Amino acid sequence: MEQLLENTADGTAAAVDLEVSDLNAWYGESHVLHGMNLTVRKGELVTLMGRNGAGKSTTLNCINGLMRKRKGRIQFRGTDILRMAPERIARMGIATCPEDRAIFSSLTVGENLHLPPLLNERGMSVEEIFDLFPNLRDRLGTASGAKLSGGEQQMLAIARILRTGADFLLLDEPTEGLAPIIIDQIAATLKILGERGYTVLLVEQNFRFAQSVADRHYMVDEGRIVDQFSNDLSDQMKQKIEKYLSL
Amino acid sequence: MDHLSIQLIAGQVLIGIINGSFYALLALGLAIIFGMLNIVNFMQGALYMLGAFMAYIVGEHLGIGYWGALIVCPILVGLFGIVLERVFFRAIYDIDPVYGLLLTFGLAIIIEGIFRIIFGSAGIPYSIPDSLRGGINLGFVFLPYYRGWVVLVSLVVCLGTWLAIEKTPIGARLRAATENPGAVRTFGINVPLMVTCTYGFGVALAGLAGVMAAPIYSVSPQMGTSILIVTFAVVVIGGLGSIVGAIVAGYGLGIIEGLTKVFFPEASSTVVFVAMAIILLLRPKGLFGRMA
Amino acid sequence: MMAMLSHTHRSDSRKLQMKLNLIAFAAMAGLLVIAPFAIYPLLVVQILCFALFACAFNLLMGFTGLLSFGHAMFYGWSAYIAGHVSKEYGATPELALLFGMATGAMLGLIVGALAIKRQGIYLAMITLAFAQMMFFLAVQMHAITGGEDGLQGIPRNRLFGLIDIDSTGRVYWFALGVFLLAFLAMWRIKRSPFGENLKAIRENEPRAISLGCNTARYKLAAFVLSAAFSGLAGSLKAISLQLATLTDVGWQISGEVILMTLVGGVGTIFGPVIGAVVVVGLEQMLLGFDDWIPVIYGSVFVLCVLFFRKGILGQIQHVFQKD
Ligand SMILES: Nc1ncnc2c1ncn2[C@@H]1O[C@H](COP(=O)(O)OP(=O)(O)O)[C@@H](O)[C@H]1O
Ligand SMILES: [Mg+2]
Repeated sequence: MEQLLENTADGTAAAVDLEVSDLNAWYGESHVLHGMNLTVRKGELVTLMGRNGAGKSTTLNCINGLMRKRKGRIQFRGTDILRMAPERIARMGIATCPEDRAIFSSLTVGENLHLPPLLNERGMSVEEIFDLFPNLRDRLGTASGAKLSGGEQQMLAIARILRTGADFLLLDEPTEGLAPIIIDQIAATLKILGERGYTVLLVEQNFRFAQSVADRHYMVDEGRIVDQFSNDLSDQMKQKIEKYLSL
Repeated sequence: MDHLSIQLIAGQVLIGIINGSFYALLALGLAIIFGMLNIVNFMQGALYMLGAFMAYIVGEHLGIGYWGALIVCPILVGLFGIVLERVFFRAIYDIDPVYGLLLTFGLAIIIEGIFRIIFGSAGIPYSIPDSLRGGINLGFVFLPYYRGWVVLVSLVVCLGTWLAIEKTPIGARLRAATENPGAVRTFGINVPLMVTCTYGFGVALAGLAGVMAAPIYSVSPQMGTSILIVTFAVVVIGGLGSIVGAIVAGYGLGIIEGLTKVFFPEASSTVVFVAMAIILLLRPKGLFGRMA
Repeated sequence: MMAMLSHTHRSDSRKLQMKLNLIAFAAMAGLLVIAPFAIYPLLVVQILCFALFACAFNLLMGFTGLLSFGHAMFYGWSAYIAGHVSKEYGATPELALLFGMATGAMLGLIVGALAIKRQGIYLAMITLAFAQMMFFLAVQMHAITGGEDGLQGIPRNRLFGLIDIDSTGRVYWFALGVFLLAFLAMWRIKRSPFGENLKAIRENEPRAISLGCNTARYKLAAFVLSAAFSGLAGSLKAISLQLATLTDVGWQISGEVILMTLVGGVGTIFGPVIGAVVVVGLEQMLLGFDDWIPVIYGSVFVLCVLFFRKGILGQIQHVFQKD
């Protein structure tokens, strides 16, 4: 398999999992992404940060194939996926946890958890998942996904994609609207995922959370990447970042 | 009440249950299709008619008989539906569902028109299979075996479909895709294929209803549209897109229609629509409706 | 620069549009005046009735975006009532038309009040179901409708009790007059503040609600108006062609009026008239091949929905707007 190599911040070479170049996207006539460029290496946790409406979710939806009208280049592990249907992209190992969490109200919690088909044997077992999210264990029999609290829904949304064996995760604002204690739990989960070699592209507006989990940050504004830096520098960049995130 | 009128009532209720069996099958197909495709399938009536004609053509002329037709015709109707879905529906999924109704209306009158050209408007007789001739006297009512068979098949198919959708993993995928098809696709599930298969299954139900109707009602090109319009009222009463609503309202309206025939025969053809008006006044979403 | 110019540009194009419409109206009226000398007048009368019906339908679908699949009940029942009062009570034509319009309006009010809460696809199914009920009632109520036979030989009484319209030539001018007046009235409605509000509702209902518009009321009013004008079309047909039958209340007519509007151009002023000409023209071309009519109609439906949703006039306007 052909794999692109690129130097990481600390000088070592790592395989590039995802390379997005000159990505443009439209909703009907309205042009919302104007030449996005970004790279995610294997095992990295990279964030997309920026204010509401900057184009972060749209970028994720271009990668997972849901966005219809898109142009440019998206390479995933050496394959061009720009024209692929979402279900094919998913079977290559890209899983999405969308901003609205997409918990299905007509499915029980158990059905929600078991909905995504397994892609390979490398996924987590249900036991491992319950170790990560103990609360879910008791809620398994709940008759409707809609009856869960926001935090539980978020955990379920992450849990169900960990079962499948997908190892490239697109997470869209997983901490939005959640209590600090649950945010900590999600941070801990992301650390474990990092140790296990998952690659994560995380959309965030919560800078402190992002700083606690990420390797690298991209700043998105008006459909473009306007800045990027390694997490080591994030303290020095704090003011700048806050400016990007403010309204 | 004297003995005779009890027999009369029981007889009409029985006829009502049989009509209700057809309403329920057709409404169930409409509900499943609407849930997945967001299209009210006006072809459901034409495909019911197609099923009945196929029973006649395949069963009588190819010599596979009623029992062969009962299996083969729904499959053929389903495949025909799948072809239509692949050829015509892609263009309209992203626009107002009203266009889906108009498109299927157009296709329905084409199908109906072609059959009228070939077979004329008069009905074609189709006989009850030998093994189901005769009947049994239950004391309060005489039950022809064939009619009992129809009710049985319809009940089994309706319940089976309901169970499959509510209780199986495939059903869970179907329900999920009805709620949020995009998210389901990002799990690697081929939703467009599911949509096509769902349409095929939904119209196969119409085909099955048609085959079963062939020996009871006269087989004619226009048999589909009139029952379809009643089915629309049934669907509005049950709640558009609700599986349970379609089944319950289907049988319920059949029975109400039967009872009306006893007590107020002039109103028997309109009572379904009156029931719809009442439901619209009291419960605009329908008995089991969730959607706005 | 575009933004600065756009305002004057828009009002300029509106004036131009108005001018074009007036020219089109004059052309249409002119054509209709000479038409009976070239074509059999009663055929043109049939076109006029259908055109009026399609314009009335367009009042609902085109201007409010609501699809009714049951307009035959207004058209057919008005035809019966107008025919009945002419036949049994010797009502003068203008009275018969009024009765017909009132029938349409009343039915429209009842059905509309029940159906208007539900949108889109639901409305279509509900109206279709109610229309079927009115069809069954028409079959049963012999005393008014004549049942299977329908009303035949409806008399053309004297207009206002004075003017004789009882000949093919005369009834043509009567029908033309009614059509042109009704056409102008509907055009006026579209351009009135009421019509503007309907347009606002169609384009963005949540916004219209937030601006304090009682959208349900407006929609119901549009529904009733559309039903009333459909009733006018039906009663005009009954008097001019002296016939009202079950065909006029059947679901096929509801489909046909949708087809005419769709072919001509939903939401355009003259589209439904063009659609009526096309549909009646198709019917004439297929004379002798009656069996093929449903197949052809169905095919036109499918083609329109798949490739041609703007209709003839909508497509022409689209091409011109691009320039
Ligand atoms: N479904 C949609 N239709 C039209 N415009 C949309 C839609 N979703 C998002 N947008 C627009 O696209 C831009 C980017 O949105 P999004 O990617 O959701 O931003 P973010 O996730 O960064 O908040 C915004 O201007 C938003 O208004
Ligand atoms: Mg977002």
